[in-house]
Amino acid sequence: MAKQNYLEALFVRALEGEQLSADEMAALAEDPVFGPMLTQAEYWQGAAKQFAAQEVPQHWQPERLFPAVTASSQYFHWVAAGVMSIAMLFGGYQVYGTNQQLVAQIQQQQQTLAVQKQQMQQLSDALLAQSQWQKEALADIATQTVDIARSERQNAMATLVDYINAQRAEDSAYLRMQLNDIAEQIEQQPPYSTAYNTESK
Amino acid sequence: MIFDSEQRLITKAQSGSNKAWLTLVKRYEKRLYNQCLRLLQHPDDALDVMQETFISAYQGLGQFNGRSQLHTWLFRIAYNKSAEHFRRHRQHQNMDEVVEPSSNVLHMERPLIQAQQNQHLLAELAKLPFEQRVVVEMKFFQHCTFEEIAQQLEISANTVKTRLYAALGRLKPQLEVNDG
Repeated sequence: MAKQNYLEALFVRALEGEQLSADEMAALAEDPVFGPMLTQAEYWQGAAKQFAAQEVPQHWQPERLFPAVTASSQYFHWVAAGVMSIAMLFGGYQVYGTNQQLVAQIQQQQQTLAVQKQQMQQLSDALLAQSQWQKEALADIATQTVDIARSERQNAMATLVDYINAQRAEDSAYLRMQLNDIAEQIEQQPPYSTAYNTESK
Repeated sequence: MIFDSEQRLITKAQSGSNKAWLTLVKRYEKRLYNQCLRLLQHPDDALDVMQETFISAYQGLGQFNGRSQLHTWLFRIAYNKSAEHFRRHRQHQNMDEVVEPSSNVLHMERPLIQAQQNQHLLAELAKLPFEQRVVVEMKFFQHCTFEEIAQQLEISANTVKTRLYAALGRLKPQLEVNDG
């Protein structure tokens, strides 16, 4: 078993392209299992080297599957650049003449911008002041609301307490009346009913 | 484009340049076609699978992260497509059974002796079950190590060795007859 493992390890090294020593090759060649396999492997290694690669069939046209950018559009950006250059060349002589006008326009716009900036600042301050006033007003309203709610709750509580007390008083009066009625009934009962009860024992 | 490195071409193709992609296709089409031919033995089948491989690769190019070589990635796709093709067209046989080689294996576009040698080799490969054929292709024609084959096919290195040993043992009687 150990010998087979050793021979297999040699065989794998040979298959991986390692150059074995003469003794190692002889050991493999003599083995009844690995010897023939070594011969086959050497045959296949030679055959693979001799295999002549075939040309891809002519009807294979990858350009139809993956169309590249068309030739005309390859030059599109060059044409566009050329047109721009010509336009700039013909338009260039007007540049100086309009330059002064442009400068004046820019200055005027800058002044307008400055005025607008000032106006915006004023508006912003007004908004800020208004915002502050609004904040204070809201705070007052909130406080008043809380106060109102508090006093209303107090009133409601007082009303409830009064109601409860009134109910209690009525209930007490009613109970007293009931008790009085019962006491009168007891007083008015004949004496024998009471004696019967005591003698029945 | 001729002097563009492969990485630049891949980046351009991933950005949408069909021209860059076509350049890559032209670089690898012959190699991939011959790999498919050795796996499937029939030129029409090899062309179909090669075309499907390039289409899949084109669609999935954004997912190629450069961790492997492009040709390794392409072969991985071609292997899967070949296996699918084999299953589709050989449904009456399972993948371990031997396929009879096509009678018209090659176009005769080269010297006769070379063509005959190629035809003989392809016929020998055709006698192998598909899974063993793949291992022979990768070991002897693509010079992959056992670990690389295992990684590509997502199997263990021991399984790769088992399949290769079986292939070498299977071919033995036929080669003895030819040499005899």
